Amino acid sequence: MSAEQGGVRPVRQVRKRDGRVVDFDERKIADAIYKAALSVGAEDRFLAEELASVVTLFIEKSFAAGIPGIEDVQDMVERVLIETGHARTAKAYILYREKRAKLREAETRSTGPVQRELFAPGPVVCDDAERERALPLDRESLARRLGAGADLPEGPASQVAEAVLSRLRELGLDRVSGSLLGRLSDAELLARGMLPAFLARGVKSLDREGISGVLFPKEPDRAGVPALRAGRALLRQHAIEDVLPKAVASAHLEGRIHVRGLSAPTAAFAVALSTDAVRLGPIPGVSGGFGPGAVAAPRRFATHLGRVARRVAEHVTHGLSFPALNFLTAPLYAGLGREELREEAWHLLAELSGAGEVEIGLALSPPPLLGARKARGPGGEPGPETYADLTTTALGLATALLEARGAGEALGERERLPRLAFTLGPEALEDEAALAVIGMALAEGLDRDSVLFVLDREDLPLIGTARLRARIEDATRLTDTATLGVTVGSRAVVNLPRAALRAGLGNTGGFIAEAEAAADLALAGLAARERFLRRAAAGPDGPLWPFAGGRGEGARLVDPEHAVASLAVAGLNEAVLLSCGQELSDSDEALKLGLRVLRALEEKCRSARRPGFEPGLDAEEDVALVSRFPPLDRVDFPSAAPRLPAVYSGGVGLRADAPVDLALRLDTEGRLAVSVRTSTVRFVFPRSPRPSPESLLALLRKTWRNTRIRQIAVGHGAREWN
Amino acid sequence: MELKLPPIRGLLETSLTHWPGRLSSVVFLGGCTLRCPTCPVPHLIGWGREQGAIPFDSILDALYRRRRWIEGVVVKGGEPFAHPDLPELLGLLADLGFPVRVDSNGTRPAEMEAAIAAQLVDCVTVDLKAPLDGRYLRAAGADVALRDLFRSIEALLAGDVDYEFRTAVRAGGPAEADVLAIARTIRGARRWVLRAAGGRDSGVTGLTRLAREAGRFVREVRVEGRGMIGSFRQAVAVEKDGRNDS
Repeated sequence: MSAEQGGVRPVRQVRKRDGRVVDFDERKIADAIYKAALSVGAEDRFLAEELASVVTLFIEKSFAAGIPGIEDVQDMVERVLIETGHARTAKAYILYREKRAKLREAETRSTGPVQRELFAPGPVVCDDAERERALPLDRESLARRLGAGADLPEGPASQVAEAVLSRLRELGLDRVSGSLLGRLSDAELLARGMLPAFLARGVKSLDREGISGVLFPKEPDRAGVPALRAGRALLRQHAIEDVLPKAVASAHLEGRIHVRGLSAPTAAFAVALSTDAVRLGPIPGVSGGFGPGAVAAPRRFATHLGRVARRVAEHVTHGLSFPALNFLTAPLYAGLGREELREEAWHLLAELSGAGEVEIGLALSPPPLLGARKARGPGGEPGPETYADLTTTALGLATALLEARGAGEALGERERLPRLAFTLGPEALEDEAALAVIGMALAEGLDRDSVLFVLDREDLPLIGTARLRARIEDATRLTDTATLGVTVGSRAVVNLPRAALRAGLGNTGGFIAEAEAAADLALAGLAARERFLRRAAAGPDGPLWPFAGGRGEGARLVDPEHAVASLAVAGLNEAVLLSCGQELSDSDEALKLGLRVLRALEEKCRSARRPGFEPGLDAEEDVALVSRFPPLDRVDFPSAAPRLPAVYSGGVGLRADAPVDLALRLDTEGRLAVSVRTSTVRFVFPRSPRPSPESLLALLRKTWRNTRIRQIAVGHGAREWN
Repeated sequence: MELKLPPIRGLLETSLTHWPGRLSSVVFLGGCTLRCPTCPVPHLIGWGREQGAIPFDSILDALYRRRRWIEGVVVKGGEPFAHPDLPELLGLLADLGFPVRVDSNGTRPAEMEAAIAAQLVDCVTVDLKAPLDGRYLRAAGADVALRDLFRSIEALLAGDVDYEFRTAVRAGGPAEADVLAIARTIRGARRWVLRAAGGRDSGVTGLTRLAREAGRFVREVRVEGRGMIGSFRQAVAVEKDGRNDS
């Protein structure tokens, strides 16, 4: 039957549900009828085609003046099937329509498989790589994406979405990747002059070269799991573009400052955890039916501690520590012989190995906060003994851990093993038993790996990590040993040589002003990152929610609400040289300039403090980070390039090979250490000649008395001090 | 009146190794009575004033700046007691409040006894290069009156001043029998330090064994040098073992 018959106008187009007008195709009607017929046992393709032509005829009669919609066509199919006596096929067809309608509904909610619609070209499909799913793309969904990502109102968003979809259709693309869709959307926004919307969208992706760089890194230090590195790269982009204020992001990229941990913006910088919190449980975020009684046996406790460490370490970028572990856990180890202690110590180390950068804090005398308290027994309840009563066990455990670590290092496990940090108070330096442990630690340091001594001064609390030891200001938190923890939310580093370069040689006032300006930016970056961290702990969707007490059970393992922030400095010595022409070790004037800078930054921290944000001044010692600055400075200050070293001095110390002897170095660095919370002096001795442990002990005592230095690392190396 | 002082040829401002257990400064004097073929500081052997000297003012300044750190000054050479002006220097250092140790080769017992008697020194060490017979003359490279060495040893063993005997053990140095012969010579001594020198690190285990052997004659034998820390623990054990001979 011809469409021209009866004077009717032939139907040429049909309007789809999304408003698009597509060519009418009678074969698709025939296909649909045939499929419905097949489902009820009929197999007559010719009849299906005949019925389709009847449908076409009726449509032409009914819609002579306009374009029929898909629904109109389908209604007509049902009518024709019923009126021509094909009720069973009609029923199957109606069921098929209902099923399709449900599928469409589901697809608009971004779920379910994609199937092509009847009578028209299929929708554009977008490959959602993140969810590993292909989703149909229509104007509404794309407009919603643009509205959320580019802050576009509904109207303009819809226009841009329609234009993007039209472009895809023009290109003949029915399948598009998420990144290509993003680029087309960006192009459309730019073409329409919508620059703010374009900038608001940001671009977070790794292009082909970036992916290749992740998979086959050219730099050896970039080795690691490719998926993790790719993830970090994307998160870093996100943090730089969306978390940090623009000026801070620029300063970070320029190298004036460095905000640490951007590749893990929801993770804390460092966390110190009380082992009592772990013992008492329950531990949020860690499954298992452990309770204080259940972890009473040392082996069970070690296993549990390892699980907690690995879980929490996922949310900490630069260090997890367990302060005064030997005293807090002494009740578990009381009564064990030396060999048993060694065995348990080895298990403890093994459980904590590979959990990232873990530090075990070992106090060599009862910490002032703990000494007079009743120690928690294996069951978790305060027992008859005080922690001071358990000093022998605590020192025995420290010795056992030291020996076990030495044995582990001998097996080549150094990198994976937790580090030991020995906290020394004045009592320890006079106590024979403690001195024996110190002597052993010194020997281990010189023999195998460096050991860290923390000089526990009056104002220095027992908590923190090698990177930062913070004071607990809130006295109420000191009443319970389970809360003796601290979260260092984030750290931002000021590149001091850059500040000096910006001011120019001889302009010391300008140098200090530039350092202050950089500190302002760094503090703004810290505040932004702290806000982000709190967001990560604020609700059930946040990754820190379980650890921050969000479920209301157990102790807070990560505590963004009370987190301290760290403003760190790097390259003070080089900065002073660039500013006044002399190094810190050259003259009193140079040293005074260094002290002025530190005091100015200390004041910046003080004035930036407010409830919930407590920045303090620290020294950045990380060589990898400090190495990032000189190449950037060379590019921006080419005339100064020949004078810049390959690596800036870490923190506030003198140049490693400064022409001063040990005493003058300690004097100078001791004066500089007054302003920074964590300052580490590294004593590196060659294999021969070596100082005796007694000499090193004398050095420890003198450093304690004569300086304000907080940490001493003793190790062996190629360089001789004297 | 101008001070007459021995020529100071060198100063090590801070040392952790020259006086074990103390942070010390080390003053090096020129001029030696011996000509040891294995001398580690041959530039200090000569006596000539033309070799120059560090003004004492600068020594004084350096020591003063480090006064909070330094727990003693070690005077060594050369042979410090061979300088007639040494008492003047020791007196100045004592006036500054620094404990003083003199590292000697033992060839000038009279001067050593005089300094001890005048309480100008807090500790004396005597370097014993070989058994006190023909082997010593070879090791010293000079014609030495061995009786002076015996006298120095006797003075220290019998006196109250802190002292230490030292012997460098190196490839080509004293053999095992030689070391034990020296031990017998200083029988009953308070402390003897065996120092692994000249890269003889592989011999540390042997040195520790020697120290254990020598512990039969000397109250404390210590081993210094490469691998010293490990041996030091051993030396503690030796100290205990060695007491039966005191």
